[in-house]
Amino acid sequence: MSGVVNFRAKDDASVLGPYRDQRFKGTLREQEKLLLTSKTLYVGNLSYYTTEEQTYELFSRAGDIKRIIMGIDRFKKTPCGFCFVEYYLREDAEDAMRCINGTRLDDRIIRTDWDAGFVEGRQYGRGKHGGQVRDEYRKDYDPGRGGWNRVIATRNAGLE
Amino acid sequence: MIDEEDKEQDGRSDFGISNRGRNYRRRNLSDNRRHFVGQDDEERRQHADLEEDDISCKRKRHGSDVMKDEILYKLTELLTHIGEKSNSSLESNLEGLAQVLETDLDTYKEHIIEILISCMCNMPDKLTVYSTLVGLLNAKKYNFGAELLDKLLSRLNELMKANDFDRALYVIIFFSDLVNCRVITLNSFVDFLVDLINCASQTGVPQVRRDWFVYVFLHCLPWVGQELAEKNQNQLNAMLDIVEKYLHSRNKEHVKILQVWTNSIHEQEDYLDCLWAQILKLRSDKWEEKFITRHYVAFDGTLADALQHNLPNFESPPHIPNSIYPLPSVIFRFFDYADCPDDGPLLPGAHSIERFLVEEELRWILDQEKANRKKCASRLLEYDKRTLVPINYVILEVVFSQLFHLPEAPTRPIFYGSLLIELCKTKSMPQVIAQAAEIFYQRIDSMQVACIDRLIDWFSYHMSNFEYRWSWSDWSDCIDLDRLAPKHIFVREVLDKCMRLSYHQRLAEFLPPAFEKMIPEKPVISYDLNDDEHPDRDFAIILEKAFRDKISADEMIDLLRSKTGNRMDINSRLSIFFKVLLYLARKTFSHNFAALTRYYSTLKEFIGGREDAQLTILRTLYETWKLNGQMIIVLVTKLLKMSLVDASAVVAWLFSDEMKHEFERLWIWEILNRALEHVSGHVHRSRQAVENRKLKNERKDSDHEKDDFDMEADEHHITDPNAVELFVKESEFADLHECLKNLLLDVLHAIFSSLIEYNGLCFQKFAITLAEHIVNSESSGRDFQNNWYSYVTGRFKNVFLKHWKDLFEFREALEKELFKEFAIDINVMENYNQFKALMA
Repeated sequence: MSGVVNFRAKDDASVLGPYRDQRFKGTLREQEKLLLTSKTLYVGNLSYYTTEEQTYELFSRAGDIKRIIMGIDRFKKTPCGFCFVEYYLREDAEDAMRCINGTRLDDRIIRTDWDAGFVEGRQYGRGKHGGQVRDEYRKDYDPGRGGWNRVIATRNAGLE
Repeated sequence: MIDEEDKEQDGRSDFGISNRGRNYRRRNLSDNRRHFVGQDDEERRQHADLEEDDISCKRKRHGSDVMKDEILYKLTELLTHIGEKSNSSLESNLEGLAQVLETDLDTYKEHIIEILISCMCNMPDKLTVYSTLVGLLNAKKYNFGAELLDKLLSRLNELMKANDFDRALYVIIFFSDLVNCRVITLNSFVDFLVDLINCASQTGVPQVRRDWFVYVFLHCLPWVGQELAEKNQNQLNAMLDIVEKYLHSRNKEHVKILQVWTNSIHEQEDYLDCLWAQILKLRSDKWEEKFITRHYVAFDGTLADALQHNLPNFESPPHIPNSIYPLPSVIFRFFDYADCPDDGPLLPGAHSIERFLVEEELRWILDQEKANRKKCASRLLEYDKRTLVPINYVILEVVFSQLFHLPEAPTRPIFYGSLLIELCKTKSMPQVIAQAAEIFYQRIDSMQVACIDRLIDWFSYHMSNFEYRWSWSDWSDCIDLDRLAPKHIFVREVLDKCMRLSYHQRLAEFLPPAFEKMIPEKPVISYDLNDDEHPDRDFAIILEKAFRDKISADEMIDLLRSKTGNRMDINSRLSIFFKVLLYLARKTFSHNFAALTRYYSTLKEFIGGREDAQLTILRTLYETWKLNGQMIIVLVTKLLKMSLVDASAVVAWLFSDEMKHEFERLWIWEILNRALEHVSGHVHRSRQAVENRKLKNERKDSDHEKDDFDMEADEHHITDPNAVELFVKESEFADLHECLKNLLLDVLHAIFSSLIEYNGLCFQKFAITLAEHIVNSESSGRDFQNNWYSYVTGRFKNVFLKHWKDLFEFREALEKELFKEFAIDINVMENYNQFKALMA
């Protein structure tokens, strides 16, 4: 019956963000299909100093965590400000999207997004200098993410 | 056709729906031209031509199905959004919508009725909007009202059979307001209420069933009480007398297990007693309340002429073993008018009907928006009656009433945490939340342990979103209190959680110096095998080298076995192996998980199913990580999920003598709860698998019966595997179910033993104290006993509260196997009786 009101449509937790993994092996449709049933969240805007333990404590408030994979600098192998959180249950991941996305961890507002699922290799930053791409272009000074972006930092070092 | 379209356009434009169709624009152009030129034959002819073109276009562009879907979509939009913010008044919107719908009533009656019922069941806070709309529609089309009522009664029956008593309540309240809207005759509604009272008077059914009918009856009275008092005074009084007798004879043992505070300046009252007191006050106020928005009053002229319907007879579904009724509850009371600012509106008293109605409506909003915290916050703050009450205080009271609701919160506690953060983005709310936190601290001495746990989780989470800024000095009185004093426990555990969300050094940064004693120890590993003097140092070195060389799990098994004949027994070797593994993997959780996964088969080989080996593993884990509760929680959870230890071993370990000194720590109970949930989850999934298999078998059987050509031998062959599979799943479920029962009995037995032992010690201590006649000892002894006993009793209740569904299934086993042994102790039995009363 097409006239029946769908009240569940109001739930934002299932709404997919605009991001799509450009290196996903498969079609866009396949990626989106995985996103709609995924139990894995991408978490962004972490401080470089945020630990797995802190992430665990916060995200376990939404349910049982299966694993957390910290994003690391491709060259230095140190945390570079993102991670993947995988839950055992989809509804727990949805609760994290509803209640944790946009709140703070280590005094920073973190962002969660659905992820098609962790694959080996995705834990590495894809930026030119080894970190995240976004840090290559960041214009502000962020003490939690290494200060200035690399280009500005290099230029400043040259001035000294 | 032209007239109908005009009506639709007029109606819809009231709702700000812009119509960009060519037809609409062209009519506007025509109007303009007519204005300039004036009417003449040529103009009229052009208009006719345009109309013909439109009809042709419609025929070409739209199949009838597509058009129908469009109309249904528009109807749905109009109906669901009526009552929301609008430039027009609600009254004119209602009138306009009624006119629009009148056109479609004959064609789309069934759809309109279905949409209305959905809206009313899912948006009870707009209930009076929909009842007024129905009144207007009934005034236009008598038949519509009749069909709607039939459908509503049918829906009510379905909802009750489906155990959806919340929505059933909304339907019944809707009926009471339809009386006000002149859709239902008062006399037939009185008969309906009499039926409710009769259900409440029925014996041989659970009290919670009778409770629900009383609750529903009382809930209707704010809506129709005045009308009833004017025209059916005698019947109303007779029904109220029956209710009063029932309430006096009702068992209230459940109250103590559901109260947030055992002793509070605000009474934590049983929900029916509270509502009854509110109704009595309403009655003494001559049934006049100033809260319900009665939109229908604006349409008195129209509705007075409407023909009313008799509500058809309703027979409620009978009680069956599968019936699940709402649990009783206790009304959370936190603020009174003295807590609120002098310059704002007055907070309605606890026994005023306004307090009940405003909290009920806010609760309905929370229930609707629990999937979207931002929308939830904005709807609460923009609540349309926010000028009648001190809105910040009422919102907070309702939110906390849900967070601390026993036995469980309606939705996940973190939702309330994030909602409160969202509410803090306004100007005045942060101050009220801070006031609330202070009040919680001051009243924590009599707060239930289960609620203190939630308070700890909420407050630490809240702090982590506001840079841990708090007037910690205001709470320095907790520092020197006994370790089991609630204030001390609360602050200690809040700081532990804050540390987990941040880091140890951070605590020193935001706490005043006086709190140094409260800061947890740094969560470092305790590893003694680095000491060259340690007798097991040599073996540890060998193992460390093996780990670093990344030998395989099988090679590790051989290495551990090569010590056979040595002085070390198998558990000692296992303990050292595990200790070294934990040490080398100490860096992060992931390192630990990777190590456990890599050497899973080694651990499995040496643990087997042996409980003593499992206890060895758990003891070793504790010795190594005793300063890091979070690490222990995470690793025990992992060991459970990997089936390296089972829940019964975890329970035995937690309640072993060597863990007694940690009994007061929150992480102990977090682990216990995880272990129980681990098994409980298994049981539920197994039960689901059995039911799925049964459904599948039934489907196959029915398919099979239709196939007339199969030979009997083939039938037998085909059904056999299904039957076998079902049997396997049922056996699995039965085993798990038995396991869960034994586990819960073990937990309760262990806590029981602590209480019994304590009572014995208490007697001895009391005797010694008397003999010694030392006033100080007596005083400190009493305090100590009180804190310890309160804490353990609270933990005992918490097991019932957290696992009430499972435990209720096992109540026969509880009474047979557990309580007989301890029947002598009245205090302990009291807790069980409180639990049993939840579903009695």
